[in-house]
Amino acid sequence: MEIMVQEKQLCSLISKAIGVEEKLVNFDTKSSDFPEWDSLGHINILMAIQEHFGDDYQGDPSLASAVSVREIFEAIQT
Amino acid sequence: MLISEISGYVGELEINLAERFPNQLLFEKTGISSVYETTLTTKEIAKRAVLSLPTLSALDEVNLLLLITQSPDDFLPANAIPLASSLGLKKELLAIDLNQGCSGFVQALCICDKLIEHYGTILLVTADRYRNKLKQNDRSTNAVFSDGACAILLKSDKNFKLIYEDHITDGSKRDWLFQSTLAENDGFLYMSGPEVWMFTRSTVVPQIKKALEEASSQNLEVRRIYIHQASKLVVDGIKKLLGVEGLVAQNYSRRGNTVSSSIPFLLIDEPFELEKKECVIFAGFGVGLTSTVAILARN
Repeated sequence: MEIMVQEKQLCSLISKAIGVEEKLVNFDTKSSDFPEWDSLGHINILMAIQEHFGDDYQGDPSLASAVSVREIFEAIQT
Repeated sequence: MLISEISGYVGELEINLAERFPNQLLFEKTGISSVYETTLTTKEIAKRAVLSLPTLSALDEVNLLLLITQSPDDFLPANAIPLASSLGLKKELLAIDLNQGCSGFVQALCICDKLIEHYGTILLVTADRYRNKLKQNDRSTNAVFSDGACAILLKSDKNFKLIYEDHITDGSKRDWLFQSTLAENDGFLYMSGPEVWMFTRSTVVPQIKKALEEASSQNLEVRRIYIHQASKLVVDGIKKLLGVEGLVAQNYSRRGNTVSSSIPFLLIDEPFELEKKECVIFAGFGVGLTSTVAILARN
């Protein structure tokens, strides 16, 4: 299933998932920028993506290993 | 094979996670408010679990002691050997360690089912102290793992049989969850939570679905599904994807993730009784990565 994800939409979703202000998250944000984006935070992001876009990504290893907004964006687009 | 008796011992020190990690809303993610740590050795918590069994006289009949642990006190001898002696078990028995984690209990059931007729009575012990493997600032692991041990007495009984088992062993995912004697991660346990979480959804869920289909094909009624209690994120995720939420037992909020002991503790909290043509499903998964799903049925 092909889904067009807007960068801004993804940043908003990620900021809510890890509990940081939306304005602090942009396309270049990396997981190392926030202590909240640790292993648990990343699972929250994955859950948010699946809730928002469906379960199509449940076996996608690149989404699980992504360490930045950009990598998550690219994993979702492919 | 009959699961005759089960008892457990959980770490004596309660750690309140809201105090340890304030303002982080961990509970809503993990479902675990407290974890438990022990200052005792693995052999000692194993011994305490065994000595809590209701019928200690049954220990005289044990011909095989199988200790599942990834927290060995000793590299050698096998920890099951001094454990057997400290329990006062007879010397004429076989005592061995099995190095497996969260899949260990179900894997051991599969092995014991093949051995039970020969040995008659098997004492299966699960014991782990993961907490001393954790980095202090790693909230993902500190917020879930607890120390604990369980003792499970297995007896030969032709009315109960493990009729199905399905194993996944994928060493290519070793780096997602490991602790090394080498310098990796400074010797501490490392877990890539997102990748392990994905594994539960992409691999474990289809395995359990396959077991449900198998039970159905054999006209067996599934009474309960016992899955490893990793955390709320994992257990709730599996329940939702399975679509049989009422069947899935859970207790992660009571003790946290006790590794190899999590399903035995679940059996203590939510025991089952089987009538003819009924069954339960067990699913253990984690470090390896490995996943084993099995069906125990009553003839």
